[in-house]
Order: sequence, then structure tokens, then C-alpha cells
Amino acid sequence: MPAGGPLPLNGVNVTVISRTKRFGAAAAAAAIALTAAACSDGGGGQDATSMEEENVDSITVWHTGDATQLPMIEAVGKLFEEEHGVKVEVEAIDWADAHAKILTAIQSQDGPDIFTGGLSWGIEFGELGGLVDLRQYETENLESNVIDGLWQSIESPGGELYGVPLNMTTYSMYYRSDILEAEGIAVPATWEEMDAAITELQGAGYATPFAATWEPIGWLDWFNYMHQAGGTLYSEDCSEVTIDSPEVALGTEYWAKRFSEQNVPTDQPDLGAGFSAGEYVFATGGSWNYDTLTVGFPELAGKWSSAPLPAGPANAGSFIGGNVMGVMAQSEAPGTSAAFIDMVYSDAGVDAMLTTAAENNVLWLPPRTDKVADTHLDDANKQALTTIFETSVGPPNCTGWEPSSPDVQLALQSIVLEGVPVEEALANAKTAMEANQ
Amino acid sequence: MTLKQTADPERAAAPGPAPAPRRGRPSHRLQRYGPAYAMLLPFALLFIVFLIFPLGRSFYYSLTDFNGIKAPEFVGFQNFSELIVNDDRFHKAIWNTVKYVLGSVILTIALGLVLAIAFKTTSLRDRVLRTIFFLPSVSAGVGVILVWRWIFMVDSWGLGNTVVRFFGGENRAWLAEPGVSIPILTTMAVWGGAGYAMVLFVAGINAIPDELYEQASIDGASKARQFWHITLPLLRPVLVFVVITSTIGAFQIFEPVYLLWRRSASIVGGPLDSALTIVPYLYDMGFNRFQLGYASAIAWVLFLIIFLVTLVQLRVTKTFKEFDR
Repeated sequence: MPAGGPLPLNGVNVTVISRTKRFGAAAAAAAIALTAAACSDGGGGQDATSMEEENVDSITVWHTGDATQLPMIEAVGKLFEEEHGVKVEVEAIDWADAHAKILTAIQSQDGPDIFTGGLSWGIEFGELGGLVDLRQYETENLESNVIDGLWQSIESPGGELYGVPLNMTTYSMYYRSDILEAEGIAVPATWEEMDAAITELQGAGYATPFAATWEPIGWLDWFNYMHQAGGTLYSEDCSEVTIDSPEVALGTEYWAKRFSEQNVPTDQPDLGAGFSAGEYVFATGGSWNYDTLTVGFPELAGKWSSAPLPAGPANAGSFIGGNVMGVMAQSEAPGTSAAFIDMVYSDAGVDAMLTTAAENNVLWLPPRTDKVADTHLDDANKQALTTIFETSVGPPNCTGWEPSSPDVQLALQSIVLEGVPVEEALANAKTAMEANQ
Repeated sequence: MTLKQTADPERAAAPGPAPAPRRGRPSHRLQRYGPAYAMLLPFALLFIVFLIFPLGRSFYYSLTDFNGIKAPEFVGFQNFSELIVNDDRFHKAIWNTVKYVLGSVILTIALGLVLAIAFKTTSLRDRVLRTIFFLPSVSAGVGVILVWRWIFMVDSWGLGNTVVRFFGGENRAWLAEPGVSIPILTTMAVWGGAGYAMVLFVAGINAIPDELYEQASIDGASKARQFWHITLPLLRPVLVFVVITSTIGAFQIFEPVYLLWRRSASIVGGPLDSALTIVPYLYDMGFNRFQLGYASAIAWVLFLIIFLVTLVQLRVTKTFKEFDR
């Protein structure tokens, strides 16, 4: 343990602010970039301090996401304030702008104490010197409660822990249970069963029985099939790019076949409206769809359910993401901030978040899978999510993945939209990934 | 009599060449011009701090390898050579931008001109129709773009697909088809810009003396000849203004690309980069990939392109003017 020693838990305040998107022309963008860059330095390498040494009145959290998620963080903030007398102020920032805003905060040394953002941003910003290593602080609730499938996404190759999940988002397979029952089709659990069900439904007149609603021709959707076929993006030590392996090729072939042979739309459809119209029978999508279907389409109550994505030849499982939260390097209260993050993982913290989520009728998947059963979903969906989390995997933590993902996506799109052979496209993706290693 | 002449009546009345300006004592000059400089000072400061300084820094960073966090490393013109010689995405962004600029500017001006000629009078019908055609120009940008996204949604109940199905076609994934990305952007630009161009053209057309048309009619000139030989030449100043401002605006397209196709935090440009234009690419390199030096180089290349295109437009216009004489 570095200088400063273990930290006792203390309290924090949370504030929420909506930011409008501002887009400028080229000169404006360049000016912002340049001005922001002017006062930069390494950052990140400060000594750990305790909450007592810091003795602050409040800390600030920038939460990437919509305003409906703020009450959950504020609920933990209230607990923290009661326990430690530190107010937690939470501000919401839009997903589309968050990456640039947090980067600007890092380089200008002027921002929040804690940020939340994309799962891969912890390592990304941490390696830029913008975040502190949480392992410098006493965070007893973290190490034992982060789910296995996410460690590869949040622990840097050097062993630093720059961020931990705040909540989770994963792919589920949603289906119209009433239609399947009427057609006498069982919920498919493997690729073969899925293919058979689609063929049967197409024969029964469903032109588009399956829809992918979360980036259908993006790398996220593909990642599921690549993983189910046994593929990986990098070798275990990140030294080698393995995207051209036979397993990845197999998963990619299956992923692409769905668009060409099973009439899966290449753009993101409206899952709720499609289910309501009876146009789609199966759909893969993010876990926010539980709320969408429950709240937005009450007429579908009892007519839909969810299940894990069908397993491939090697693995079951699907992509898992969500918000990561970390402590900014420029924070004057890193110890206090780390203590707040630790409280998010405590029993009291998770319970506060779930209670608030239930009161607001919002699905909040906490970072602790043992607490999924405490969400307000029905039993069938709780069971499905519990199973999904057992086999979910996050994106790799290898240096270079984040800047490579757009190139990989372009290569994958060339397969679906231009008919480029899978091997050739994966070779192109590999070249781009190696260039960023 | 101009303001300049009235300000110096002695010089205005004197024959022969104007005398050289007298160099007054510094205290006199300060007394005379001091208030003017003092009033200019706030603007000059803002201009220097928020335009000249960032532009200078931007050029400096364009010569560096800079990720926004670590100190910039000087690399000379490497960013520019990489952009121009090796960067396939930049070449694609340039080509997409050129297609978009040509399509949107030509069609916007053509449609604006047609509308202006059709609805140029002060009758109630023309005023109402001009208002209707002008409305898209004053509609909120982001909201309108989101409506376009709804029009082009992939589901069968999207407006675009409803129309296609009405004519017997099949559902299309408009925003996932690379071939229609630029036509979609062009359609949006023409829809939003033609009304604005129309208003400017109406003002220009109505400033042309009616006598010219009456005389041409008496001489037997057809409507088409009147358009080509009276309307178009006398509309040239307005036309030049509309062409230049439309071109500059088109080169800087960003919001529609960002809002129609951005589905995740790290991806811009649409399927296969089919909608990737220069400014979204600049944004991608600067704010998604932290290559701020490279992004600054893109900004300067964009500036040079716009500068050169505007220069050519002005030169061509001047040539036509001299040819007419």
C-alpha cells in the first residue's frame, strides 16, 4: 500500500446537470482542441491521501448517461453524506459528448472528482495519466464483487485498476413468447436451434423474424458471435492480435449470414414497436429494453420474455458493458472519491440504488451480480439475466483496442455491405489493430 | 458628395493631385484617433484572444504529435504529408465532401432560383408560399435532423419505407446503405437551404428595373432570353454571395452526419464511412482518437480548400464580368 495508508470510508454529495450538445465548424473544433491542450501535463501520479487528510466538504461526479440514472447515484451520495459528512454533487453528461468532455477535463486539470463513462474508458484515460489507480486506496468492497467477465475489461495490462463498473448493460435475446407458443417453437438455446426457428417462422409468414437492435452491423453485435464461436481479439497477454483465427472467422461467417440469409435488418430497428406490431419475433438488444418493453408497451405484458443469446459451438455468453467509474487524477479528494466508489459496492449502497430504481420504475443492473435478484423484474427475466451474467464477457483491455474498434467495424461492414470475403476483411482488421498496438 | 469629401472640404475643392497627408504631432494624432482606437480595443482583444491566438496555436499543433495530455512533439509537416499521401479515410472524406458540396450547392441554388422566379411578386399567394418554403431555414437544426432520422428508419412504418411500399417496393435500411448516404445529406441540405436562397434571389430579382424587361419584350425577346440576358447577369452579385456562403457551409457539414449515423461513442461516418466528410473526420481524430495534432492539420487543410475554392469562385465571377464588358 503506497503512502497515505488505508482510508476509512467517508461521505460525499452528488449533483446532476444536463448539457446540450454544441457542435462547431472546423475552426471552432480545432480551437477548442488546441486551447484545451495548452495546459497539459502527465498527471495521474500523485500520492494517495486519506479522507481525513483531504477534509473536503463535497465531491463532484460526472455521470455519463441520461437523467433517469441520476437518482440512483444520488441515493448512494445521500448515504455517503450521512455517514461521512461529505456532500456528493452529481452532474449528467450526454453519452455523445462525454468522451470529449472528460478528455478536456483531464487535459485542463479542471473537472470532477469522479467520472463515469464507457467500460473501456477507465484504461484509456488511465493510461493517458488522467485517472488514479484505485488500488492505492482501501476499496475492500471492490475486489471481491466485480464479476469475472469484466476483469479483463477494467484491469490495465500493467495491473492498475483505474475504474470499476457502476452498473451493467448486456445483450439479451427478447422474444414474443405468445407467438412462439402459437407456432409451437421452443426458445432456441443454440445457433442450430435459432436457425431452425427462423426458418420455421419465415415459412409461417414472418418476413423479418429476427432483428438486432444494438448496432447490428457494428463490432458490438459481432462480438457476441465471435465469442460464442471461441474467438478472441487478442492473445491472453495482449501480445498478439488473434482476430484472424479460424474461430473468429467461424463466428463472423455466422454473424454475416444472418443479414444475407435471414433478412436481419442492417440498421437498428425499433424493438418495442416491432414487437407490438408482431413484425419481429426475436430481437437481440441491450438490457435497457426491459424498461422499454415494460413501460413503453404495456399492451405487450405477458407476451414477451427474455433469454440468453443462443450458444455457439464453443461458448455461451454475450458482450457485457456499462458505465465504469474512476477517480480523476486532478481531484483534490482522491481518497474521499475512492471511498465513495467503494460505498457503491457495499450492501447498503447497492440496496439504496435498487430501492431508488424500483421507486422510479427504472431497471438498474448493479455491479454485483448477487444483487440482480433484487431488481424489480419478473422472475423469468431475473433468471435470464442471472444466467447471462454468468457467461458474459467484456471488451479486451489490451492497449490499442479502443482506437482500433472503428477500423474493425469498417472491416466487418465490408463483409455485410460489400461482400468482401471474411478472411480478407479480418486480415484488414488485423493490420489496423497491429498498427495501434 | 461622399462622407470623405465632406470631411475635408478644402481638399475636395482644390484642383490637381491630392496633397500628402500631414504628419501631425503624436499628441495631436493621439487626440484625433485615440477615441477610435479605444473603441476598437475591446473587439481587437477578443479577436486576438479567441481567433488569432487559437489559429496560431492550431497551426503550431498541426506540426506536432499531440494527444492532448502529454507535451506536443514537433514533427514538422509529417501530419500534412500523412494526410495527403497515405490517409485513405481522409481521401474518402474529401471525396464525400466534394460530392456533397457539388450536389447540395448546385441543387440548392437551382431550386432557390426556380422558386424565386415562380413566387417573386407581392401577391398574397406568393407571400404565403415564400413563407412556407422559407420555414425549413428557420427550423431548429437538431430537431429537424432527428425528424429526418425518423423518416429514414428501417422499420416498415418509417415514412421513407411507407412511401416505398406504397409504390410496391420493399423496406430499405436507408441509413445502413452506403450508396444513399450522400444523397440523403444532399436532400436534407436542399430542403433546408433552397428557401433561404429563394429569399435572397427574390430580393435581387425585384431590384432589377422593370423597364429592362419591358424593352426586351418590345424587342421580341422570349422569357428564356430575358432570363439569360437580363435576370441572370444582373443577379450576379446575389448569386456570387449565395454560391460562396453555400459552398463554405457545405464544406463544414457536421451535425447531420453526427446525428444521423453516430450510434456509439467512438464511431462516426456511417456505414463504410459513406457519410464521412472532412469535419466529422476532424472530430473523430481529435476527440475520439486524441490525435489533436493530426486533427489540427485536417482543420488547416480544410481552411486551405475553402480558401482556394472561394478564390476560384471570385476569380471566375470577375472573369465573367470582364467578359460581359
